[in-house]
Amino acid sequence: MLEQFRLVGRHERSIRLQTHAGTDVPNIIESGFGREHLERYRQLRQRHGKHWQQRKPACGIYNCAGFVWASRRTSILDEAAWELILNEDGYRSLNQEESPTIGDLVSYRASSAGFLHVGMIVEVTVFTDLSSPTTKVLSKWNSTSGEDVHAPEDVGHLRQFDQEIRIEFWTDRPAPAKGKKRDAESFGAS
Amino acid sequence: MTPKVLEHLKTDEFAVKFGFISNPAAVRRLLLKSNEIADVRRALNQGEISEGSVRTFVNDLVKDFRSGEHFPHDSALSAIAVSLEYRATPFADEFINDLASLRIAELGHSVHIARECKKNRKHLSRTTTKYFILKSKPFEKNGLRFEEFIVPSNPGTLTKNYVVNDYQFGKAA
Repeated sequence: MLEQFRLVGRHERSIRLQTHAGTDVPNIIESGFGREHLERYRQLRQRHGKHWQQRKPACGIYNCAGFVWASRRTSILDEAAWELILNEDGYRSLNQEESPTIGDLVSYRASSAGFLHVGMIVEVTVFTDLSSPTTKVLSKWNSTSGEDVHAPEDVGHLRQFDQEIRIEFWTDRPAPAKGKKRDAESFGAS
Repeated sequence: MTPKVLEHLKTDEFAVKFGFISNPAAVRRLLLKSNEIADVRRALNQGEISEGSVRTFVNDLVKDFRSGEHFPHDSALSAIAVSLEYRATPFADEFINDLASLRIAELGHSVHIARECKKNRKHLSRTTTKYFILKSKPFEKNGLRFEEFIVPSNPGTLTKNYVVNDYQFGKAA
């Protein structure tokens, strides 16, 4: 039934990608986008992205996980690989007393569907009145969208499924003295 | 004409809703709980749409395939795979296995979702369903030769038919 795909399609390509611990990370370099994808990305921004600031127009090849963990070179579609990278690359979730900083990650997890998205903190604004700093996230929504800067909560398209969305911040920075200790030695610290 | 429940799967509205999530496993879980998939399943189970019409729909989608470009109906293929996940028919087997086995750059999510569906189908009952046509012994009435038989027109529904003189067909009242 799907023979035409096999006959005309281009064989999928991947790159060698590993976690810090040396475990292979499955990935696929996805194709470029078509006019339909461009239109849908336009509709997404029109419906949910009124306050988003575009960094890069639509492009192919990589998804959100490929952006944060593979330098925009490929797509990481396997959910188990996301968990694997968080574990083996030494990320820890930020506790409530800690503020995220530029370069930290933010993940969106639906209550019964799992990870929906991951993005990177690119802006932190600290206020002199000691109120909580505000952050901005850079996101690549899928392998045919562009990149947008947005507030962490400004993800209306992820909130339309009657699921509770948990926003978690992740960092590779050492834990503060009172918090969980990080195994610095395993990350090359001398 | 494509049934409405299937036609909706290739709309921009559907693709925008499910196409901007980068984790195929999560998309599958969301699809499983969605009204759109519930509608397709209900239509299939109640005989409103046939597997033949799904096949025709998929064949129509494939016509929009362009080499080197992300397939525009990836979300629709994902939805069909999820709709067929718990359906124990040769067609569902064929579709999910075919899609899961593809290794081409133009398809992303749908192939991964089909692989998830395939894994879950292993838990389906291994009982094979076979349908038989049940025929009565020929009998005569008013000088005509009758033969009653029962044919499954759709899985789960039986239609009583009769044949007159071996060539006239009709539905029993």
